[in-house]
Amino acid sequence: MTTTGTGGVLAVIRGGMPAGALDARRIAGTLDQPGCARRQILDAAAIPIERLATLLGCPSGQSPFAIIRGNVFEQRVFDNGMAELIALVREHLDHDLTAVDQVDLSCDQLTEAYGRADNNLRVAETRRHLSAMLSGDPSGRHLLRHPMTTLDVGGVTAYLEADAFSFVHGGQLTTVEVKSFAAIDGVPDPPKSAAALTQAAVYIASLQDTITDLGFDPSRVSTRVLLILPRDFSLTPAGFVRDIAPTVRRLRRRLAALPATTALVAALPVGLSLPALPSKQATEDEREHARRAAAGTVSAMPRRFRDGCISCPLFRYCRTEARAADEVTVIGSVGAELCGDVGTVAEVLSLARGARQPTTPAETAVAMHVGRAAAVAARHADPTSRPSLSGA
Amino acid sequence: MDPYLAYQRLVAAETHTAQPVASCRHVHLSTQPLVLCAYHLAGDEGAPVAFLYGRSPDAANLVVVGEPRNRSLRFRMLERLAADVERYLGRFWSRRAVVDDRGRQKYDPDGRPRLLAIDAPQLIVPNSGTADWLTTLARSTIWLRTDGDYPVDAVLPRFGAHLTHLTKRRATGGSANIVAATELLDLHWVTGQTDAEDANLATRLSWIDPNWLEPSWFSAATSVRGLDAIAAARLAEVLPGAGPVPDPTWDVNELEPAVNTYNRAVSAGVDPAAAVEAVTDAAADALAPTWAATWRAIELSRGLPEAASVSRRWELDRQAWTWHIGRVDAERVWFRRFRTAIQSARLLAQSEAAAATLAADMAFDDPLVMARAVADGMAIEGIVIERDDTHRRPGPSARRMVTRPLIRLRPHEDCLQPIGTTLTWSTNTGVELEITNIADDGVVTLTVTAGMRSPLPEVGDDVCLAAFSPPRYYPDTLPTDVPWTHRLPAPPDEGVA
Amino acid sequence: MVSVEIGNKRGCCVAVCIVLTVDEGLQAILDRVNALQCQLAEALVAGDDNAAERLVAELSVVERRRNRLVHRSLSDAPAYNVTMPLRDQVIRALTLLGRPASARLVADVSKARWGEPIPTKRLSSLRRDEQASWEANPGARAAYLTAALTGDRFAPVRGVLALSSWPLDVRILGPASPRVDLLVNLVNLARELAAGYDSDAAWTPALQRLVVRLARTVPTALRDGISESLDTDRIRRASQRELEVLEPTDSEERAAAAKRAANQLDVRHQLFGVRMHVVVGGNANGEPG
Repeated sequence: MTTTGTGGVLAVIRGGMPAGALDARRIAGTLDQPGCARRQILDAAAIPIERLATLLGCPSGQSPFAIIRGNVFEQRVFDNGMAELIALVREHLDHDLTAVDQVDLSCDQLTEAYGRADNNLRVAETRRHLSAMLSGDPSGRHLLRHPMTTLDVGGVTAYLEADAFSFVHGGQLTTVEVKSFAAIDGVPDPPKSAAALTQAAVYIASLQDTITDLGFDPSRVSTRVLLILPRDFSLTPAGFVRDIAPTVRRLRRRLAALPATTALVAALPVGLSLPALPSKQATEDEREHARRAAAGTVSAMPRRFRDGCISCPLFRYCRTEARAADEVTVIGSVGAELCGDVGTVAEVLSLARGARQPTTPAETAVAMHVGRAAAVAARHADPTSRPSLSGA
Repeated sequence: MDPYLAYQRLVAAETHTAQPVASCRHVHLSTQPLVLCAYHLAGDEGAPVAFLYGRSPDAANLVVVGEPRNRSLRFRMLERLAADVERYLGRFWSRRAVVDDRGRQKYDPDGRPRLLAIDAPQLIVPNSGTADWLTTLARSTIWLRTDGDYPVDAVLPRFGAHLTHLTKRRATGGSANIVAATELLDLHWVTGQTDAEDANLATRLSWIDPNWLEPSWFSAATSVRGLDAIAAARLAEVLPGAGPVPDPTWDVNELEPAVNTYNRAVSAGVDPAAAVEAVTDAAADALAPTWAATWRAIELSRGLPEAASVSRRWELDRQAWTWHIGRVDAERVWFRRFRTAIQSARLLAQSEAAAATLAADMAFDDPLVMARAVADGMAIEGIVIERDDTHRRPGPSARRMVTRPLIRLRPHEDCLQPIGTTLTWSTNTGVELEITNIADDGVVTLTVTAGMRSPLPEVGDDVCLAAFSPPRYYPDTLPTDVPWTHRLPAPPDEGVA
Repeated sequence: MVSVEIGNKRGCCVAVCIVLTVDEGLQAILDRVNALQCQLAEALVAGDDNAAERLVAELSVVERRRNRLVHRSLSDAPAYNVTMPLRDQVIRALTLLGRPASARLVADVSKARWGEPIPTKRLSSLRRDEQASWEANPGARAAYLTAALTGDRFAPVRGVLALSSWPLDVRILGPASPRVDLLVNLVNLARELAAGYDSDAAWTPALQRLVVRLARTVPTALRDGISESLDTDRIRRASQRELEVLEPTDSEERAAAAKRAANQLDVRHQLFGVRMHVVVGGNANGEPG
């Protein structure tokens, strides 16, 4: 599963925390927070990041209404022998009438059948079915519900559960992604569908790698995704096909550029470990003790604070750190882009105002660009032009 | 990337105070706006939960629904909102005749007397998320039927039509029919936090006015006075969200229990009007800080003098409103459900043009905005060191010599525009100058190419010359043919009201 | 009837409490709530915010307890005023459907056709009760609720219900069976709806909505325009057309699986399925090591 040494260290880092899942959403998030060692290590160690965030004092969570709606809609799509899904693959992927053979690989169903359903079992079952499908075996299915595949992320294996894969003999394996935000007047909500498609890219990459491992050509995986969304303001499912080959390529490049988690972990102080999460009955002292231990461990992991961080549960924690260090990134990515290696707000402003002479090429560039802005601003700074705060 | 704004952000971060980036107000603010704050269910834009709205800070109406997923209850709530909004819009029905310079009535191409609404409505919402959601709200109400399985009162589709018009105006850019408080603040101040954090009205406001917080929103031990921006923003961060999507923690702790209480009560026979109290209390508490923040943002913006071109842009809004209420009166209001390709192309061109227009207008109206252009290199400021009114150079036909006054300028910063660029004088935009030389010591030589007969910069003046000009006229250069970027293989469906 | 008045102390609330003869537990709770409310009022007047917060929290807990006790003492009527036990409702719905169906569909049919809501959450415990009841006294009832079984390992299919009175090759599912069974269910529902139109029954609009939802997934089953009532013949013909394509293979596979099951399994497992328990150290295929 993981490289023995790294796996051991990651387990130590996880310490008393329960193992969370590294799902497609988090992996897609690496495109949002590229190059953040802190996130990469926490993700690789399977830390439940929302709960860690809550322990560190950052609010986190998902709305129960959104969760319920998501579940209700997904059930609607998959219920009754996947009736709605069958109708949509017939409409959008040209599947013929006979392409209705299905199997349920979800955790619930496998538990019902086997008494347990750990990731390895689900992956094994999925691989068994994929082999049968791709080799043209008559027992091969057309629709896999909640299949599980793996993906290497920085040297660590992630287990990914897609909504469904669909397939016809002679065709390609298509990824199906079910989401509950609406498509109004035939237009899926743009920012949300972009995020959904990025997640789908993760499943596609994982599926490509899996069938390669099984001895099949990865081009048998389609880069088209069937996105299923509620139509307008009802819960009637509608389908949208999108080709996301560029997104898959971008994801693979990003994944390839990830430093080996081994290397990141090796650079950490020895013996870092997260505490167990305080129970509901924990006292204030116990909570504070756990918080301090967690903060110490997290702070030892290098962060990379940027605009995309606002979607990370640890946002406030990292921002507080950046502010305390007077980092130029407190104003966002633009600070990092403009000021490069020049690290603090105070340093940049003193260069810009000519209070200090630049000594490196980076400082010279900053002094020039920001200096011009500072000079113009100084000329226009006029106390009487400051808007008055009426009624303060 | 804008070094001027980045610099101002850094200064704000250093001083823990927002920095002004405008000296006048670039958005029209009505004397009678309608402020509207709203929540809808997370993940379901078609399920509103509550609306808090009104025309003054002390007079807020609240409508809520006990079970947001129940369509009938939803429509009853929306009908009440729609009736109140319609009453507000009814205040803007008066039109007066448009006359020419000699007082004679102007006429439209179709022969009808041209009218202009005396004033037009303005909806002010907390943030752009809410403003965008109004488009969805319009879409979800305009096609509702007054018969069939879920009949609604006719006020709802009318409300949808009004809202469709107003949201379409917003989409074309430069309009002030729908304004987000965050945009109001964004135009005039810069904070020391990230762009992404600025989307939060409460924290952004805290940078500009750290004293806006109400003690009653926090525990007694928390002091809310005498704070700097960072401390105030940290407090503001824990306030309930400004919507339209509530905080997940509020959903878990307040809304879900309240809705469950409502459902249990109603199935036990309690009068729904009493059972809805649980949700009412939760929503009122949650939206109150956002309500206060929106009004405070309006107040702060009103403190700025209005920029010169604001009333011209507002007149466009009034013209569009006049057209809309004319159709309403004639009962001929309809909108396409799907945009045609050419409509999409026009809309894109329109909003791009409007954005460029607005940027130019703002710079010429406001020296502080022009400073951004100077820092960018899109404008230069400097002292006139020489002027030669007798200077001559070859004319356009190259056969005659023509008189073109020459000006030499010592700029405060290096001129980044190349030789040959045409610049506009900010003080008198009729005067245009062309850069003919930039010396090694930075002195810029220019010849006047337009506006020679008007007053020109004097020697010793500190002038500003911009590499862009304010909009002078509005030809319809919008596409009549479908540009290739918008061609589709087959035309989309159209639905008509 | 006893009338109790809690007097007006400085800042304390006035509460007039008309108390019927109630049991001690409930009375004690009511007294506790009153006492807490008075303490709360005192704390607010004295400006003791910490105490006030604590009392509010305590009150909400005690009030919840009070509400539960009151409900319990009010009546012994069950939560749902049903005329028919849950299991019979489910059997009735399944009989109409005719083939294995999801719990959700069973509940929707019960609601649409008979106006009886079925809480799907209770169905899994109902299934366990049915198995226990059969094991205690096999064959005592005409039909038991079971789950459908998978064709490869005869495991119960989660969320799909069947009747024990159905033959094994109907209760066992092949790869295409979920689709085939849905089509058969639709044919049966369409037939029932037609009968409803003929007799002008009150339940036809609700059943019609359900049939529309299912029929949308069958090619040519519905006409494009919206009309008052459905063409149930058209729905049945469309479903039959798809069934013609799918059913032959499906029946074969089911028959083969049923034969295997009859050979390998005892009656109990033929009815309620086999749940393999994989021991630790099993190989990746899920078979015991």
